[in-house]
Amino acid sequence: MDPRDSQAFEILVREHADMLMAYLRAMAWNDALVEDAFQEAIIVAWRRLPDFDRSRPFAPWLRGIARNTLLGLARKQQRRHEIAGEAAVLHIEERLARIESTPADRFADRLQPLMDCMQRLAPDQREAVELIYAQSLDPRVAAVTAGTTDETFRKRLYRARLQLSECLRIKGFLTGAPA
Amino acid sequence: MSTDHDHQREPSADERLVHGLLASLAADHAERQDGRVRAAIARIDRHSSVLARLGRFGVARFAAAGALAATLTIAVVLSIGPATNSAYATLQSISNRLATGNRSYRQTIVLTNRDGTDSLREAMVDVGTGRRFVFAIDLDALPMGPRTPGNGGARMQPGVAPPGATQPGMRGENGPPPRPGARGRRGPEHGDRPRADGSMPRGQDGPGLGDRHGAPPIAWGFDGAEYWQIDLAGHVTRSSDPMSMRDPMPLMSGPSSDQDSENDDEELLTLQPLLDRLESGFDLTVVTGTQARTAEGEPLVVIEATLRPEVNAAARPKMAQDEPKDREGPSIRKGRRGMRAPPLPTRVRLVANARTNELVSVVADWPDGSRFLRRIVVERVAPRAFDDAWFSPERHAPLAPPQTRGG
Repeated sequence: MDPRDSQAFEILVREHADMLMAYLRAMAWNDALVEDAFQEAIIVAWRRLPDFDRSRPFAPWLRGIARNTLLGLARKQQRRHEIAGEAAVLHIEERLARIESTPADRFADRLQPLMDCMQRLAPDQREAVELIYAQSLDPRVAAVTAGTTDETFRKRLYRARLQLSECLRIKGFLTGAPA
Repeated sequence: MSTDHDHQREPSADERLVHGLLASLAADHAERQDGRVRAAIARIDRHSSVLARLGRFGVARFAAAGALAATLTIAVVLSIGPATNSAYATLQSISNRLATGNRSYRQTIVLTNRDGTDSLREAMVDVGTGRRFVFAIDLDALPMGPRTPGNGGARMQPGVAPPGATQPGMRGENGPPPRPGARGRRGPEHGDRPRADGSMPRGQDGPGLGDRHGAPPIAWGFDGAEYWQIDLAGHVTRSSDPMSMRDPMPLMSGPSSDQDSENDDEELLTLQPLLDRLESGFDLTVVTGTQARTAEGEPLVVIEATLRPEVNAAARPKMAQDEPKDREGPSIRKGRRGMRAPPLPTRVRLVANARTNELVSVVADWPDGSRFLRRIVVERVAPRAFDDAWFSPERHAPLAPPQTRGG
């Protein structure tokens, strides 16, 4: 590996890692599959770097590789049915491209509207999101921690995600323009 | 991180996106991301170091694309999980890329019988100019007898087999052929004789020469204009589409509706993609100090790939779950149109011309990991003295004149 290419590639990967992870997680709900796809996508991207048109943005190119890698892995693991459908994938890609166009240094900085929406959640829903996503608890452990049943907790989390989606839409975060 | 979602309904695209974005909330998100990137870069570095060592000899595309044929079997075997590269797709790639130059390869598969004995399957792959190739199963042990001397390699008529002849392309290794009726063998039963129409009786259950749809294919090729396949009954099938052909050897699958078409064309064409494929599950070592050379004096490079224990362990429970214990023979097919890859070999040894990177041999071993496969060897051999007509089906037919079917 040419050291300069290697360093440049690593910088690019680190810059886009958050986006890539969000994209893969949006496409597949299976953590192990997502982790494998993340690794493989970076390796495939490195291998195909000579084919990358440097006059074009890196992120869509990387997402294309990641999408194909994930689909290939899912097929091999007979999990294709767990992957988002084509229309959903297109939707996700459009939204991510929109988020990327937001002026900010880091991907995390572009997610401020999400943080704002989090604050608007009902306390039990916010707790559910924090237990699952911030503390990375197993859902059953999270349910116990929240003092409720698995089923109730799952519904609470589901409603929280819907609320966040709606809030982000209102903010124009998912639609491009404030409602 | 949760994998939980409401399984009663399909999450919307926005809900999926929110789920993906929320992942960045994890308290240890930055640390995890750093670990992921480091791991990926480390894999790239490790792989590149192997290639860099190869680079001393000049990493380039194969000088002769005939070598691609040698990667066929091994590439299929190395497919992890349900195969996404069918042998047909591979051959299509080969046919699209073949350069000039005659090459011959011998492919040997050692199968493990249920009674513990081994059986051999052998085939020859001849590659010529104009993208032509012939993949022919070694039929010298056919009940109908060996090739007839002085008859252009044609075979003797069915029914004139010498006493003790064995079934097509399969013999006991280092000793007498397996006893008649021995279980676990693939293809027609040992001692079976062709039917009146020349077709062979079907074997017990596995893929192989015992075909479910008439006489088994015995040779397959491309004559420069069309793909063809000829079966034991002498039927010739011609087509412009190799995907329409049937399986000439075990480990090959029929056309799959589940192919990863994105990469198939390129994946198997060079040494580097083969190493890439190995790298995901194997530790690669460039064996140095061998100073080995080809018969022509070309330096050789030897690469040993050893299956990582964690990969092996991860594969076993799935295999055990998928394969009923009382099932006869291999479980390499999950259906008629698809194929589940056999278990990964424990060790793969690649020998390549160090100057051209053309594969000289590939040996994959399953010392104790498979109830079916023991070893696959693909080795380049001295090109046979084949002429242009060698790439036509007629040269590989049983004695009876071939009958042509529409393709």
